[in-house]
Amino acid sequence: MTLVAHDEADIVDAHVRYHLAAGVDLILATDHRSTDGTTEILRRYERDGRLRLFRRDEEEFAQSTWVTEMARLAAREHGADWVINSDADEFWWPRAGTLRDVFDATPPAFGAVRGLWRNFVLRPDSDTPFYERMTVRRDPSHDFDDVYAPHVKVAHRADPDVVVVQGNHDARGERLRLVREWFPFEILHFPIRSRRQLERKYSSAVYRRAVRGRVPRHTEAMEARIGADADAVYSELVVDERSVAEGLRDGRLHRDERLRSALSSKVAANAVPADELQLAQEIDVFLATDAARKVEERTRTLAQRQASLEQSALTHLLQRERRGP
Amino acid sequence: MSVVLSVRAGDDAQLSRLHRAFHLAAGVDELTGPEARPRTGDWLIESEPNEFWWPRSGSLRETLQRVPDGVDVVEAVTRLLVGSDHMYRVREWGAVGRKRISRVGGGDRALRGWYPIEVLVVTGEAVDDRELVGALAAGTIVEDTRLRDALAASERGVAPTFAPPSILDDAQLAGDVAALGDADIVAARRRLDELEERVAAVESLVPLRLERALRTILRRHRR
Repeated sequence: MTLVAHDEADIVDAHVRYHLAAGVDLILATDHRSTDGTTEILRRYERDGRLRLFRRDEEEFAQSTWVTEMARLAAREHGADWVINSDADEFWWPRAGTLRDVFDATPPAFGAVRGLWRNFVLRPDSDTPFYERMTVRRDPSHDFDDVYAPHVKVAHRADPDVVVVQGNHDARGERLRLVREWFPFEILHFPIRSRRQLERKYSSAVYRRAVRGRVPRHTEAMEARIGADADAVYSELVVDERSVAEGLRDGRLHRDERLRSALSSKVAANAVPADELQLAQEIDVFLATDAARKVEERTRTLAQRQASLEQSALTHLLQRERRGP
Repeated sequence: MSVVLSVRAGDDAQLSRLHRAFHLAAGVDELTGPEARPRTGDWLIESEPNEFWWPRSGSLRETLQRVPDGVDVVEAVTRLLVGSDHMYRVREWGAVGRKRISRVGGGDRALRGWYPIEVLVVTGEAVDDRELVGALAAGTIVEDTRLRDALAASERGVAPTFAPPSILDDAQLAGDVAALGDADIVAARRRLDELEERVAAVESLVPLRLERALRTILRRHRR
């Protein structure tokens, strides 16, 4: 597994502990200028031989480059069969069997499989770890720029020449044909976990330096809003007990205590809720935005050109002449 | 809610009998001819006499009952069976397709990427032993005894059971579906390319270009 971390002390220990227990053999981690204790946590696992740590001190947050380097290293130096590219706030949960079972079952003609984000909502701050508090999921937003939009991440066969794209959404390589509509993993996703982490995530300007100034739109919008009124943003995102009860009742929210149970060793990572249809609906939202977005853009342009032609007086004239008197 | 399967009379009387018995046991409430008009709200399966609609878990009725409101179409994946005993499935390119089950009077909305039903198509195509050994070794044909076993059980008066697929089965179906998805994208791109070319050809007509130029000048002038 590859991991890039930047000040993730509140979650990185849970992340590493969970994935090592779930069957990941080795984690290649890049620590980018962390100052909050992340480095020390990662070093502890490095001493146990389950993690190889790289430190990056440059200002630019070159996620795609670093993940690509680590994924290649996994193939070239560590004899990996499969590589999962993860962020610290993502927990890869197989829908059936173990991580290894999914990879073993993947048809040989294919080299990449995807997991779908399942987003957990922010609960009020307290001294308990995030996974004790955040046990409620929400439906994905239909707005692709929302922090809770449906997204996918990719795991791929180890390839010494792989290119992992920004955000770990895709991996390119000769043997890495994607099983397009199969989502054998859920990715339990905890993007916003506390007031402090919310401000740090969007105010540190890490993303501004991400890829030569190309900042994701939702990040830019969130950064501006937090700059203007962080309290308002926190209040909007945090879900209190009453809202949880309402959300559970009307089906917008879903109780999901899997990670909490897994981290307290109460349940194996292959316990899956009977929510096939709920997942199918979330996949549907993603597939609509994923495939449609690219085709939509071309179709919209085409429709504009067509409309412009239809409005043309000359077109009417030519058509009338063609039809005859 | 009823599940209605419409099918024309087949030429093979034995297959037609098995087809009827199988679907009634699999959760179909009523079999009709293609001319029958089912009631609004019923789920309608438009089948061929050699198609066996196989729910991937639970019965057809249970599967369709779970479909959320607002979703009126369920997509199924077709898979071809060869051999006189219907126990081999073809895995070559083009052997897989899609079929739809619709709620009568409903819309056109399906859940993308959700395929809870397979359509096992009995082709009746014989395969000689030598060819079969080679195809099995190459993986272009795989053993799939589900329908054979279900039909044999049905002959003994035992209803078929539809156990949830293993992760291996899931992965194989996903692989087959991926081929379909890739083909869809290629076809959509080709259609768009063609449309773009046609529009560009019209746009490039000199009189139309002149008209556009004049309109632009007039607009500027008005401002």
